[in-house]
Amino acid sequence: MKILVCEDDYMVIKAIEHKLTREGYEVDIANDGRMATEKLKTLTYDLVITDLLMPFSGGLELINLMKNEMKKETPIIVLSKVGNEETIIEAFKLGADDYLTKPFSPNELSIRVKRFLIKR
Amino acid sequence: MIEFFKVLQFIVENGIIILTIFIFGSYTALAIFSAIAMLRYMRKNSFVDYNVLLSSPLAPSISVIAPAYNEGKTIVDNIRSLLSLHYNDFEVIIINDGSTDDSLEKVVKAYDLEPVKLMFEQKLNTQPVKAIYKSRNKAFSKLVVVDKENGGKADALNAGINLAQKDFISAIDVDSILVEDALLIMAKPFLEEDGHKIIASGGVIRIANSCKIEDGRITEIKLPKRFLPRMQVLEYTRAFLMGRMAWSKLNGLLLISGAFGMFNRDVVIKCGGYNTDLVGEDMELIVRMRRYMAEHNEKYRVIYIPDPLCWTEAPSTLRVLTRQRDRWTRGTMESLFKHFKLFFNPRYKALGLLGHPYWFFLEWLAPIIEFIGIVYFIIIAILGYPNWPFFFLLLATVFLFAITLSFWAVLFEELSFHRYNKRREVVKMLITSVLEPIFYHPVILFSTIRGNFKFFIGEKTWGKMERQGFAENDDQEKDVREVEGVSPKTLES
Amino acid sequence: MTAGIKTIRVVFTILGFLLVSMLSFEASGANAPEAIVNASPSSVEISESPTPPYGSSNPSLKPTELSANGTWEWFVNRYRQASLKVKILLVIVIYLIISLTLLFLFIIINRTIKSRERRQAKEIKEIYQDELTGFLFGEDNQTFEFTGINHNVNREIFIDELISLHNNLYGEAANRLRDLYFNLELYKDSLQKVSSGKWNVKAKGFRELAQMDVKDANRHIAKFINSKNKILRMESQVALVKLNEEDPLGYLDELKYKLTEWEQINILNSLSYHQINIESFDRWMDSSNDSVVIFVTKLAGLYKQLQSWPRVLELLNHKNPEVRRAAVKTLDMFEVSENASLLKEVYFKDQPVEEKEDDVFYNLHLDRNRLAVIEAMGTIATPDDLPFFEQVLRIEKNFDILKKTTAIVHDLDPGGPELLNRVMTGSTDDLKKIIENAKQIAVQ
Repeated sequence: MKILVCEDDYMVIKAIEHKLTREGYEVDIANDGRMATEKLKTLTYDLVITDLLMPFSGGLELINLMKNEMKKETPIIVLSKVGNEETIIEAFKLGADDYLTKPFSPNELSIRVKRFLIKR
Repeated sequence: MIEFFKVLQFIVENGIIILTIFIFGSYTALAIFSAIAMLRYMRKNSFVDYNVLLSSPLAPSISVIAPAYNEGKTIVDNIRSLLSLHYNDFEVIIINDGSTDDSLEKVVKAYDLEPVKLMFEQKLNTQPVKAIYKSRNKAFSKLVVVDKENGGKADALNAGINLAQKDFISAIDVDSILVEDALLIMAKPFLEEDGHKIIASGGVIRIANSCKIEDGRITEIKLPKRFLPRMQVLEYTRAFLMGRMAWSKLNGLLLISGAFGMFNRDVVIKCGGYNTDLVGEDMELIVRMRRYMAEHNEKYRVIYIPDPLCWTEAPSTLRVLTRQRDRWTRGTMESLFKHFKLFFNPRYKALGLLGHPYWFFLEWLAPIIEFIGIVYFIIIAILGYPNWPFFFLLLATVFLFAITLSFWAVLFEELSFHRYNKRREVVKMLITSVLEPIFYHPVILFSTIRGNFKFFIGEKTWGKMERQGFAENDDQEKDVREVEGVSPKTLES
Repeated sequence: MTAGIKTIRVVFTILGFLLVSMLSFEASGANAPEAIVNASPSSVEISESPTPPYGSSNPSLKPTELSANGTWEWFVNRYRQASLKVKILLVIVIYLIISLTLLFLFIIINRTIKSRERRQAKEIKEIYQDELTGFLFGEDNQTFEFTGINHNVNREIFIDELISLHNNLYGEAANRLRDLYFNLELYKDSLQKVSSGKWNVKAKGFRELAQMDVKDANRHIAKFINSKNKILRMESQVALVKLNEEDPLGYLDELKYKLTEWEQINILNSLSYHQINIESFDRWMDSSNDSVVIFVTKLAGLYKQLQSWPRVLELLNHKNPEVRRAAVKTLDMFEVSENASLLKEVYFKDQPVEEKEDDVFYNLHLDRNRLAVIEAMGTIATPDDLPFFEQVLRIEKNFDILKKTTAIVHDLDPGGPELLNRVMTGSTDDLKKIIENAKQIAVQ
């Protein structure tokens, strides 16, 4: 199972990467919106985890791209510092499947990932 | 006859020494004040976490207003860059000021816009608004595009202000590139009011020439390769780091760059918004806002933020550069003379006793005196009365002192934000400092004098001519991507 | 950086001394008595030297005396003959050349050193980032050695990275990091910062202690809540929110200064981040410090503490208009329909005062209050409130308030749209346009 993680904080990436690879998933990384867009356009993933505030295009644009333009069904988990209601609602309206705020528990993240991938 | 010249020579030469000492003394004083203020600022901000504003329900909302005229080539990218600023509750209002190219079509297409009926109050008079657009796409919900008839930059800004719905307004040049955290950093001072009302905050303009720009973001900062922009880097560094920081501390700051500033909306509207008859509308607004607060006996502050937040393309050809400086000079003069009431007027405190006189003497008068001085020496040399050792030594003093100021500016930059990190670039800056008084300064001086000249003869055919002139200028200057409306900066003598 | 500046100061003082001594040497050792200011710079200087006066109208100057000792003598003689003006300038020029050279060297050396430090810091930072994440998620029975953390500079970077990672996580991972922080005795570093003379170091210490929940640190930090230094004030308050477990906001009792919005945002951020529960904010609604009252009123609304409702109602009569507005907004968040009559009273009380038109902000506050009232009414309005809204539409002049009222009335069924039609006749142009617009939007 291949997962794309879009995040610009090095340590958060490392933490997620370590955790998920230990669980047996294949993890691909994008450090900013542009890289993420390129990867999404060329490769397929089983799950996407994305931050909202990244260089170049943000997470919301990414969600929009995947769900509304490319019409992909890949589940998207948002992982962001921004925790206010409007943004969360906006993310869901655009098509996000789940939303985790930072600080997050790597265990919790792993459970949510499993939840989406078990169905496939 | 000879006696007359000798007396003249005496007056002029001693006068010049005194003036020189006075001018350089002022610059030194400013530099020292700036240093102190910078030190405090750097320490204060060494660990501020601006991100607390990102998801706080108590954070203020911001309307970013950007007028656009014939920016067809880059407008779509510019807008995307603004939309991806790191802030939570903000709107981006783009005002299409009657562009004659395909700017509007491009934007409507790229952002999937549709016209909406939006009711707003005409608090400020502007040219008629033709239509207002918003995006069908929820990802671009922060974007508002206003299509109106051409009226000039000030007019477009006023239209944006009329439409602004949020707590604060931030005026920006649409082709400037803002750092992601720019809104966070600019908003903070407004939240720290303690007795004094913060009416405006402004920042530093940095030069983007030769920087690597990808998708509307600066990915690598480099010193400009070309000669003219590099000179301007030095100029801006001196002006911003060693000049404005001091003025901010003294609360005498006369100018917020038009390229990027944030304002208290209520005060702007109460003052009547931007003045559409002027060339230097951004400077004049700040002066007017300050006057307004002082005349109403309100305690206030204008905050200056030295962080590099806004990057812009500087003119790289002589033609565009001289035209820009010429225009800045006229803008400065407009504000100075329109508000001459402030001159040494104690009612306006630091603004009247220090700020206005400083601009009057050192920004406006000094270049003129310098010019007269040069003319004088040429005449004297031709007539054969020169006091050569004196002349050369004076020249050397001025030359070396100018270089000293520039070196100090480079040092300031090094010890604060040090955006130019390679040693090679620092050496280049130092060498540029030596070349500047010889090759660059005369150009600036010439444009300034020309600006003065135009101001005095152009007086009668003001208003209308200027506004049309704007549109023409825009067309001609666009081929070198000059930034319109980057405002009068500190000019060295 | 400060060491560099001190060096510069020393160097320039020395140079300044040189300058002064040269000038005084001149003043005492000069052979030629000179007028301080000459009547004519090109006139003949009084001089004992037989050399012809320079500065004459002849631009090509020839030194008629070129002694066998060479050009140095020539320069010294010329110097001695020169007017005071020229001497001053010459000294200044020499001073500037020397200082420029020193400055140049200093800048280059500083840049070289800084670049190297930066590179090293970056390297060690990346090493620590890998080591920390490896520590958390690596094999369980690994014993961990962190590279070179006994070095002061490295230690600082390590603490920063540890805390940064800790802030992103919670749960088991975060706890392990906290244990590491204590095992490596890094808490001692943080405590030491609090005793530093520099305020920015102190403040960093507060932060670290709060973020890593060093229980005992409470008593060290509490004394700073009324510090004159506003950053120390804020950082200590933010830290105490976490560290003072029995009474996180207790210090609000003693706060003498105005609580700025920035501080409020930071304190609220700390409350949310550490998920701290406060039973009730009522206790501070009596405070003599208006900013405290405003803050806790807002908090009561955000935390939906309905039990504070009666107390907040009382605040509608507070003398400070900003307190009144905070109360209105909080009542809006409570969404209690019984608020209506009292809110209406506030509306009528906070009408613009003509005599205060010259005061820049007085009427603005009142305008905002009325708008807040209308917005709060909007949440709980029923057709019974139509008479009130009719009055508003007739007496109100503020555009935004009229717009909001129209929107609310339009949606009130039955009776809303009819009311709008009635009001149209005889109303101002602006209002007519607003009502028209509201109808059009509804149709869309």
